[in-house]
Amino acid sequence: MGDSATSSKLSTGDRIAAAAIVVWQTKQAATYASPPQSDQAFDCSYFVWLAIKAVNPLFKRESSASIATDKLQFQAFSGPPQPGDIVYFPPGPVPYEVKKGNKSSFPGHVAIMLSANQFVGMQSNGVGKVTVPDLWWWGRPKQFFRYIGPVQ
Amino acid sequence: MVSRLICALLIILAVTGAPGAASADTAPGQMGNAQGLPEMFGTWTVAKVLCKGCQADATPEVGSKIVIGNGGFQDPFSVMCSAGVSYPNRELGWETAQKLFGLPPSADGLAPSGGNVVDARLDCGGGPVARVLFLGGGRAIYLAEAEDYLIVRK
Repeated sequence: MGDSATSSKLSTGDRIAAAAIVVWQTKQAATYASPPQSDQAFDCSYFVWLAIKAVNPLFKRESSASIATDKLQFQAFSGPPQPGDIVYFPPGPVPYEVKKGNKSSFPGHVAIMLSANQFVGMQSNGVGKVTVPDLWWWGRPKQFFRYIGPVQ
Repeated sequence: MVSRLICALLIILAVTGAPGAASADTAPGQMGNAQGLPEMFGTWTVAKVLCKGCQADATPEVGSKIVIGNGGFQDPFSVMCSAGVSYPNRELGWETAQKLFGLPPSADGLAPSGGNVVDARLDCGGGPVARVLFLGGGRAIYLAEAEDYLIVRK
């Protein structure tokens, strides 16, 4: 009873951000793997799934592209992002890489915003916090989404 | 304030105790030593970039310096950190590291003589912001984003 009363004082976004921080801190040894193989080898959408499960244990993992199109559970909005919001980078060339002559299309990516200038997620070198604007990520096209699905 | 802390603790318990979340956290998956090893400390300079698809003459990272110290680090590819610094690390076999991090064939020549590397995180504020494989002999691979591997030398 007291627990739920306490929980209700935090916004859904705050709870997702808090859960994302825990995943960031506790999965330091994990390496990137897509599709996910275990809690020590997983991808970006698995990271987001781990965080959202803190507010909805029944949330089923969705790919990054699915998150961007799931209007029932994620609402697109224009920035600035708040803690717990999701940043989605669609697949495509990365401006920083294009400058270096690499015009390949890079996979899409999702991560959890901790504030307007930091996100955490499973990047290619492992879980990590990125402070933006940075060299690699922030020049990419991106969209923000807010979780609007069920909350427990 | 106290209630927010209690709530945060409950969230931590919920996440770490979630089905499947903790089950794979066996000892091999942990970064054991949070203290940096002496070989990590110093000024590292990007000497070369191994990257897929990029042009050899367009690697602006070359010459950049990463300074790793006991009380902080300066990393132009992540953050300058002077508080809450730690360097969790573990030893990995070279072949394991090649596989885990998808090192390109052009990294084959970097195989450490002892056969093992130190897989280390640069932690700032309680969690990682970067990852470096220390090869011994003043050589390391900074795992930049995507397909870029920065070869750094001390």
